[in-house]
Amino acid sequence: METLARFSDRHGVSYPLLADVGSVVIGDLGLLNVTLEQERAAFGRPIEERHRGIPYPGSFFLDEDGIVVGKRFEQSHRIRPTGRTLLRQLVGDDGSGPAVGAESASPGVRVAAWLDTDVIYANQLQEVNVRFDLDADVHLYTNPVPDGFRPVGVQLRGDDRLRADPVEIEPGHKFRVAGLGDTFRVVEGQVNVALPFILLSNRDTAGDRARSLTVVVDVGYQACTATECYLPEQVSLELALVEEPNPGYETTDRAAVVPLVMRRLVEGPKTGAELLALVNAALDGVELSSAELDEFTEEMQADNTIDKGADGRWLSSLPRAPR
Amino acid sequence: MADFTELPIPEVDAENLGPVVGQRFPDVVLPSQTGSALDLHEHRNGRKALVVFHRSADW
Repeated sequence: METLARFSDRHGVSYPLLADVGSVVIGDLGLLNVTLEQERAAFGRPIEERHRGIPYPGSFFLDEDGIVVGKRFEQSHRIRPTGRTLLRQLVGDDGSGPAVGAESASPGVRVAAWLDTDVIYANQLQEVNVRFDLDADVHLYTNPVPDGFRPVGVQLRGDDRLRADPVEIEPGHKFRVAGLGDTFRVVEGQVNVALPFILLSNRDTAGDRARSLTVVVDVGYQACTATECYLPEQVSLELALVEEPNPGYETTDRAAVVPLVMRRLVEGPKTGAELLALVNAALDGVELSSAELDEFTEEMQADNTIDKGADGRWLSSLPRAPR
Repeated sequence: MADFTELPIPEVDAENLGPVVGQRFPDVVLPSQTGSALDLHEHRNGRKALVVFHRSADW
């Protein structure tokens, strides 16, 4: 309950959060995640004691009588739809569709990128969605790739202030290429990638009037069938947005911004003191105390996004985005 | 021609997890962040609801 209260206070949650201690309800409803160990293994990570008892990630939409009228479950907790996405899927299309989107296609592959909103604010955590739709006999390689092949990669650019998390492409299926005597990973069917980003801003760069902003989604991939491979593709999908002035930028939601900044800063090993100095420099005016840094690093370590090496220095544990 | 051997990651039968569409969502009474127990259907009080299952508010 203390955990819920802390989370609720930090994020300004106004709806009830319920604690299922011992996973009793989760078990009764048949939602206990019994394949997590395999999922973790697919990411090369062991299962930990605190992972036991978690539900499969999903949502139920109930009507006025409490009848389930819609439901949605994700394959993994790594896929986290926004509240608006959930409502649109479960309640129905409100006619608005993705607020802004762009598409491209190559043999066997269609790529779409979109945002749920075309108005964004400085220091607001946003998310670009990218979806690959592959023909039935087509697969894309994820890292590591055989020599000379291009892995699936997605990156954002378009503004000096744009900061994005390293992209986590789903690991996909393992494929062993007999001729090469090695195992590689490929994805098939539909592949969804969510790219959280912020426009990291201070008083000088936040802007005091609305301005246009184009976020460019650079997508690279190479499609293959069992018998042939197409040429590597590199496309840039442009999302035209409007940045509205954010009067509250100086009261940045640290819980959203600090971890994003830290993940970038710990691409190389950093001591706690180095990290603190870098975070404060990056946030320009947001003075994070040593105790606050400890709290963030603990949470991020618990979430497996950063690790502490044997030498006591912090390092990102997320897979690097393909360059 | 390459010969592929597939080693799949777990598939989840998402549609059949938990209460199915058309069924009344079971009664749930659990402690909330306020410290007191909350009855889902009582709290709804005849309103629609979105019930989200997440792993933890802690990690």
